[in-house]
Amino acid sequence: MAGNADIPDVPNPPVTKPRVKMFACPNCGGSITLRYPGASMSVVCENCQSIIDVNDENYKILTKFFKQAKPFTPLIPLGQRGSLKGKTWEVIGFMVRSDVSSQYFWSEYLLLNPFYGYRWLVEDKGHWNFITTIKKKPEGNLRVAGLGRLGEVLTLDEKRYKVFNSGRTQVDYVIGEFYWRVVVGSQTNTADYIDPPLMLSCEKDESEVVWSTGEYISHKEIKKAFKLEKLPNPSGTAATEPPRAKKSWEKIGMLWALFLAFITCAQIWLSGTSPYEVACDYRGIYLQNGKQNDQTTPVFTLQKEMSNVQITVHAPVSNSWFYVSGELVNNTTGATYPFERTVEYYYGTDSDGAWTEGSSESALTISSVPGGKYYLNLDTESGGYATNNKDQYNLRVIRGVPLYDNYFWFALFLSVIPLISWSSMRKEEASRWANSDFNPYVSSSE
Amino acid sequence: MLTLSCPSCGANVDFQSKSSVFAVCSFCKSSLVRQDLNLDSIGKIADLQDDLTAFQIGTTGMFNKEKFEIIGRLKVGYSDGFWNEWYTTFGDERVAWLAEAQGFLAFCYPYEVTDLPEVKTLKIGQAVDLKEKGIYEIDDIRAVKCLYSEGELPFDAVQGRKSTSVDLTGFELEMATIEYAAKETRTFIGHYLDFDDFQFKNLRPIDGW
Amino acid sequence: MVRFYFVTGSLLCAFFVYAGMNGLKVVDPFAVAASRPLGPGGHYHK
Repeated sequence: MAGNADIPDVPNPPVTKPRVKMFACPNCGGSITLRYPGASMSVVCENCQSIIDVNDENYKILTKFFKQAKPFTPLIPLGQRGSLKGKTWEVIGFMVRSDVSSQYFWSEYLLLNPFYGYRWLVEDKGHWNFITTIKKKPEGNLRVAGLGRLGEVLTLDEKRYKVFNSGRTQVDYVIGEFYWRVVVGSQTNTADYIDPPLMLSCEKDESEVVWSTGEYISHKEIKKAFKLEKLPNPSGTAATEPPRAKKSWEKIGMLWALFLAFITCAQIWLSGTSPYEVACDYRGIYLQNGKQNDQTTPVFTLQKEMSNVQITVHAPVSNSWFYVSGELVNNTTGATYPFERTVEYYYGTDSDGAWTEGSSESALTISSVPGGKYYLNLDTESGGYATNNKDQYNLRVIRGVPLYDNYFWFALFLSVIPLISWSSMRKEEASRWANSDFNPYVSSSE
Repeated sequence: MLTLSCPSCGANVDFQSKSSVFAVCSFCKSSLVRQDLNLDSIGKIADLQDDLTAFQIGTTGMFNKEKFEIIGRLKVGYSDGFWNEWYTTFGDERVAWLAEAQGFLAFCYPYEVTDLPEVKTLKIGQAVDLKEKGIYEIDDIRAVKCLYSEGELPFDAVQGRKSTSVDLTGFELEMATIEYAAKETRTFIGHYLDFDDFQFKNLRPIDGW
Repeated sequence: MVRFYFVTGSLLCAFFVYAGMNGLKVVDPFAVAASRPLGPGGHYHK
């Protein structure tokens, strides 16, 4: 290789100079620490709260003594490092921003990792979001996207973000250093879209449009990451708070549908396969307007080890009534099932026309009757007849009739937890959207 | 690799790429222009006051499973900030650029395009037709100035050199840059990628990291 | 809650089928319960 032997071929490796730089504030003379000269463009003097342009060799003052009602204290001190998403971040700037129209304010922390760039941590009522500026734009017409119109939904990376808020945001307070020339009081048009726990935000000012994505981070994770003593407890539901109740409801709702489908099919099957067997078809004589005691049916067999029994009574009544009181007796065990039925039918006409009331047939069901040999003991009584003749009534014992009551009760029992889950979900979502201008849980007429 | 001698201090000046026409002597910081095997000193590059970057001349990385090495650097500034353009080579004829701005990294190749619109007519949001590569939309138009250069570069990167840099985005994370300079207009097409995608080695040590 | 509902719901479904097959009315406010006859000389008359 060419070259003088006295001059080395390769220069010495660069010595890392201490990065942090201190200089005197051009406004008040106080000492300003600049943690990342070469990256930061502006820094705030903690002493006099002036914003200094560090891109300029003369350290031009950008804003002098920005007016402050009360100073804000960052929850994570400047210079603190923490590990989030597998990378280390250093807090280098803190700002408070607010919505211009509602004056609702929140905090933002600027994080830096010299290899991975900048991130933001937004803190609002104890809830934290980790924000990354992105180059990729959401799908759709970008000319109108990001304006935050009612019903707007943006798609990015197969996720759908619903519009949550839009408005003008203002910088109210800053300390630390930033990668642009911060101006207190500067405003941008912002719009937020949510797909909990994620968020998509758009900020527009005169010169540029910046998109960023965000993710909810629990305050416990922030506390642990930055080794903080304490953090305020979150209040209310954050826009991006993980939708626990909704995810739970989605699963429970599906189970509910499956269970209902199951019992519906089961009911159809049970009804279809019920024997409906006439075990006893008794015709008894009774005296009109009289009492008759102690009629006994022959012994009959009830099939199936366990099932129900329907007793149907039919009597010819016409503006009269027929009453039977009896017991179903197990011939073997002596167990008795007492019952009674009234059959009545009335008709007539009045000012509204013809009317009828009652029926010539009445039935009752006895559930859980073991199979075996049975008979019936019957007492009857009747009244309202025009004549006093002997008449005939019919009493049938039907083994195994379909039960319909159970279906509705079980559907009800199966719906208790889904109802609780659904109202939990509604409560969580209503709380989530309470701070949104596009709250779907509130009528738009408000 | 071509090694020539610095006309100011005599140190070795390496040229890893045939397309490099400009270099900064790593010893005396003279800016040198190459004409075949002749080097002319046309000035000195003043040191940067403050500099924060993960990269340096000699940093290597991977792109499309191929290894590249940084051989040159251009730091440009505009009204609201600055960024670095790292000149890289794949060891053969191919060269590419690694753009570094506020933590965003884009890797792009030079791309020949003719019939580009006049720089004065361009507006943010405008669509520009880059032929087979598709239609790109303008994100930014900035008047930039060369703040600093290092290593070897394919044009005269003297401090103060002015140009207009137009940033465009395409589908997904595709990007393009058109640089309108006094003597030439260059176009580059590439992608935004994450730091970890490159598997960088030999990064610049950063105090405290 | 999901797992709890899955377990209790499945049990309810199984019980539903059991009740249906045995003619058991689960909610029966007017249930007719079996009782023993009052003693010798019950109602049986053959």
